[in-house]
Amino acid sequence: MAETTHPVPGGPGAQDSGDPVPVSRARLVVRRFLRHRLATVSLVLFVLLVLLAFVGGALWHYGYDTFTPDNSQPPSAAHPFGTDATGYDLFAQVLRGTQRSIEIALFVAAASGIFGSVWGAAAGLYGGRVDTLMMRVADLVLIFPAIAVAAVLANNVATGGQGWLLIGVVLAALTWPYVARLVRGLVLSLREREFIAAARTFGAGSWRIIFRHILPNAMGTIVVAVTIIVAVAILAETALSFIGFGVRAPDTSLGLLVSQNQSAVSTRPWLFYFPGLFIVVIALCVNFIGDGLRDAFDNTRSRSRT
Amino acid sequence: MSPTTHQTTTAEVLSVRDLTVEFPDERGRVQAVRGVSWSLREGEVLGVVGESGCGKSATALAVMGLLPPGARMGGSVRFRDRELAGLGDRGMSSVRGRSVAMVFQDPLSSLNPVYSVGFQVAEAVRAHHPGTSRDDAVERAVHLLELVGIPNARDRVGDYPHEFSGGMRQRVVIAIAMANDPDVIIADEPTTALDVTIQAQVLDALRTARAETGAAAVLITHDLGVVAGQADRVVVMYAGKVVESGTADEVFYRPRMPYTLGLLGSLPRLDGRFGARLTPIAGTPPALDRPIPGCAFAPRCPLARERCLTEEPELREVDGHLTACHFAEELVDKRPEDVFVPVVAPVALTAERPVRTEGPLLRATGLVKHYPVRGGGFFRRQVAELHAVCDVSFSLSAGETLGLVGESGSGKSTIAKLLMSLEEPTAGRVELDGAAVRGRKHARDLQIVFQDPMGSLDPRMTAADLVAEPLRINGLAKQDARTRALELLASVGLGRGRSERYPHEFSGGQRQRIGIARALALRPRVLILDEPVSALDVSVQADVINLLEDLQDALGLSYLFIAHDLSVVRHIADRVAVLYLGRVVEVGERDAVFDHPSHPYTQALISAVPLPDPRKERVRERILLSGDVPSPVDPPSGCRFRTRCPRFLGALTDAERSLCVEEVPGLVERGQGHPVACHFGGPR
Amino acid sequence: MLAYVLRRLLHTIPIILVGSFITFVMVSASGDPLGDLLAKQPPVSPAILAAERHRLRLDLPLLEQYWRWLTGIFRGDWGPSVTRVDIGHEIWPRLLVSVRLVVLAVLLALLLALVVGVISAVRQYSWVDYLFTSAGFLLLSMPAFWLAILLKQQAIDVNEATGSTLFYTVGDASIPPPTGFWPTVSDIAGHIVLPTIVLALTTFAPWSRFVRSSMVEVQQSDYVRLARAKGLPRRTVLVRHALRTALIPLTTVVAMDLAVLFSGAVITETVFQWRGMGSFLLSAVRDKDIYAVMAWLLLVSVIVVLFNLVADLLYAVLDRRIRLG
Repeated sequence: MAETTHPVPGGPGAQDSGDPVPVSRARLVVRRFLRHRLATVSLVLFVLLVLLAFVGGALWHYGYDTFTPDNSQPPSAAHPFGTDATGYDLFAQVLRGTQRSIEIALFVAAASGIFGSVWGAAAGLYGGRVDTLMMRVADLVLIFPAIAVAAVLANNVATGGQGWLLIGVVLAALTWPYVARLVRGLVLSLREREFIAAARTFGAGSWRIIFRHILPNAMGTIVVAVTIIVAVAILAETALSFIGFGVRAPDTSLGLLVSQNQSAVSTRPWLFYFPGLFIVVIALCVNFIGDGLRDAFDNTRSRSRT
Repeated sequence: MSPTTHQTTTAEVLSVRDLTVEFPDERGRVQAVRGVSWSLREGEVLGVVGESGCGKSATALAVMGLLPPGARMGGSVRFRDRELAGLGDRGMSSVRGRSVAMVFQDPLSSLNPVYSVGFQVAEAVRAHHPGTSRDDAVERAVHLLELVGIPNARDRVGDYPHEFSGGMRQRVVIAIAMANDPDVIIADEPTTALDVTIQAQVLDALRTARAETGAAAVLITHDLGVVAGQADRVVVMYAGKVVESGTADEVFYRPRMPYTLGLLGSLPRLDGRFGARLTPIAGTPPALDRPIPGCAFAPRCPLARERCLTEEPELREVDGHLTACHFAEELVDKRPEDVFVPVVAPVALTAERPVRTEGPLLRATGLVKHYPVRGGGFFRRQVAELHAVCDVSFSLSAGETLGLVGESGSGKSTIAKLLMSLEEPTAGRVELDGAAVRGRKHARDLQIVFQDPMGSLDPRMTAADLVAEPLRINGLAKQDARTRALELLASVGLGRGRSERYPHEFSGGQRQRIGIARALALRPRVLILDEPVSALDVSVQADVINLLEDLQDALGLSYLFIAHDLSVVRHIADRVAVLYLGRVVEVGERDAVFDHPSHPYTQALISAVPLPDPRKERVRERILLSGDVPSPVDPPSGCRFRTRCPRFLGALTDAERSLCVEEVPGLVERGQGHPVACHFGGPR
Repeated sequence: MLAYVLRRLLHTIPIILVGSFITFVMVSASGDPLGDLLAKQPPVSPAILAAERHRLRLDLPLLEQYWRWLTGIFRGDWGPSVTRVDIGHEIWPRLLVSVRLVVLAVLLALLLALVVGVISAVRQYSWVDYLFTSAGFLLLSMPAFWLAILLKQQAIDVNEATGSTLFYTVGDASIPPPTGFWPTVSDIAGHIVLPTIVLALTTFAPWSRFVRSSMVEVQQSDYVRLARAKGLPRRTVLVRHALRTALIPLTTVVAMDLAVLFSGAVITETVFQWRGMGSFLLSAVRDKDIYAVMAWLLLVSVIVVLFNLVADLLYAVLDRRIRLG
């Protein structure tokens, strides 16, 4: 970047630079991210929520499926979020639901991130007919409203232990085209960059170009996209559970809780508000983290100069 | 433009006093303009020169009240008796376009893509004459477009910007500037994005605009040649300040500021002085994010001493014009090389000298490259071919530099790609040392340096990794590759301290050094230099040119130097090949081609290059080519240049013309001692 | 232009064919439509089962089932339903109900996106911008069903407080519907208000972000600077040069989101208990009613595809640089 220079005879342009600390990109990204205050707060909150759901859920003295003698209790010390008509402790259920939602969302993000990246990168790199065909397939998925396909697919999902995983697979199957389109676009533009041509001139092979040059440069955008998918997946999972095709009783999820308790809004509002608020807070955190990451990775921020 | 030097008697139309401009920056605020004063008199042309980041464009935007939000400006801008600073947007919009009009740098992005050009010109007319009817405004638009030289203006008013070439679009922008008979036209790098023959046309259109409106002009440019030919008075800017100002002759022939002298010395010239080593200015301009106590140029100035670092020099009169240097008097009768001692680059490479071979080292024979053009119809059939390169042959001997000259669309970059096997030729072959170059087989012997140093370096690798990469790919162990990379970096003048930095932390010139070091890593014998200095500022450009010359001497390299800048080619090349629309039109020894050009295109090209010499510029006769380069999709039959050829359009008889239309001229020697592809080639 | 439209349509047909085949297989594999019948106590006679199996074409190979469905479409035959209703007869009125909702929601969302996006862009980094941005993020993170229930509850509270039916919270129209043209219109309008608001609010946030960022970008463009240099008043520059150019790409964004909007409509309709495409789909899926699901998917995907085509054409008309091809 800008240098301050001294008239040192002995080499044109061979002066030492003014600021001595070389900044690696990773550190630059972290620094920029931390400057985004909301994103930083969201990250901390998100980590706390994850810990609460996974560790706290295990420690809490009621399980999500434990009957308690208290029915329809408003929030109290014993039941911070109150209880429902059957006597389930809502706090335990919300923690369980949060756990499910986060598990599913992270799985969806990872699966569709990886699959979509590979698909999009392959399409972009091969180009031509292969590209056309591969992107057609991706478009195919995008034409159908996700909720309908998800409902069809998830309808015969067996209830029980691994049910959530299948929902994750279904949602990943519906979200990967977004990643694929994005990555393809990135690869197409990176492929035209001169440094790729440069690498080819000294004999770099395809694999080296992909893994040393294209992937590292595409990583930022992919990470941001995958973060957004986490938020999308959380909302999609809760919506699916809400209409009855997602996680099913006796297991529970935040969407299912809202669905089960929607008629209680006016009589026992806690049953409706707590799970809903958890969804909003989680999704909000993830969206803010995504925004922070976008800012952090974006080095095209224009600086107005002559 | 009549460069009759107006004397101080004429009235000032526009003046700027103590102008400051600050921009917000990631780390604080940048002082882009640090107290600039100048004035523009009735009818004159004021040239404002400086390198990128010197604040010349910011000054113009401040005058127009068009600074981006967040920018802060101070000082005064007066138009005749009216203070413009602090006028507010509403007040300024009555000034913009009517009193002061502006032409911007990039014609490709200056026009709104979704409106026709006629609409955009008419809109300017109506902005200050709201009573004008739509039809009258369009009528006026047609008239204006005719004035600036748009052919068939009446038929073309309804066309959209993307249907015009860059040069034509810049004429439209000039027509917009003329629309309301302004008193001042500010042109901010109006020809920088254009080819040199198009530049001549656009400068001509600007001259027409001035003649029609009687406006005075501020011409902002980094090109000393353009200023020399156009400006009555010149202001030189450096680091947000005016460092020298006076009449064009004063500034060019008697510079009293080391920076101005340095700029002149680092400029390769088409006339005289070629062959001599350039005298670059070491270092780069200072960052403007903190106050500079003394002279901003001091860190790069050979004359600098203690006082320069602590005390800021004021503009004062020395030998009849203004300069901001404490020691201006020392520059009397000094040439650039007396002040800026040319330094020898620290080339320390002890590479084995390439074995001298008999005959040419690199030979291209009958290279052809066509790209398919697909139609938008139902089947997307290939409807045409883009003829990028057409039957191009040349050879390059060991240790020689061949300059490949041409404007955009000439196919010169495609040739580079063909040589590097980045593209497959449609026909023809490339031989290195008599053996065909195919695929990556000759990767070691043939390397390339790209135009854009930022784009050709992976932003996520450090300088050392970048240079080591070719070595690693070709099987060198990690540690050895690293050692060698550091050696290479040192040999291009980048010391060890900076090997672990990323491209964005280097300046443009330093990045290009990394690119050169990387190209040298595999000890190539031929280096293809694809516009290696055209993205760089003048003073930095000289530095890189010198480095290339030193490397060639030390390593016995052969260069294929591809460029659009004739001055640079004249400086560095031994032989020159001139390209037009994918064909070689003239080839020969450098001096033969430049001093005795036989092809009408070469002649026009050379005459269009502005010289940094006001007196020569005043008496020079330009060959103005008409129109644009035809589309390579449907190139003219016979001689491709005939549609713009002054000979074809002028003196030739019909019988002679039909030869040009029907027969492709071969490269033949026509009494000038070197081959030329023109049926009627010869001196002007 | 015509060649382009034809090519696009021809490219789309295989997509829909392949897509419909895959969904056909998926729906068929998702369970036995006769499951309920089989589980009945006392057991249904095998003859009835066989007859039902034959009526639902389950005795045919899968490929033939698909082929008969596909060819049936062109004859206006949507195939047999588990519930013995005529799918074609059932689905069109429901489609009308849902499309009404989606169209109104798109219009409202566009309006919101424009107002919010433009104000944020013009007052970049002001408190309004931050407020709109925060609200946008909140809505982006809000599940549609939760927002719907929340609004519904508010509406009920208002109704109770005022003692009159200001908001309709159940159904897409009154049952029985009022007679006369104007009473019908106002009845429908009264029912559609809340769902439209929900759908628009949960959709517009990304659009307004898009408007904001493209406005910001366009405002820094050279041609906006030139327009200002001509001496045009700020407002003219903003509307004529910045907004118009910034809006063109929005057509694509909206078209791309149409499938998502239908998903949102399904959820919203469920909360407000509409007899629209939402409940049609959900009960069809629950009943494993293959042909009903297929009808739903086919109609909606064709709408999405056609709308995308229209958006592309519109784009080309608005921006002359785009050569269709």
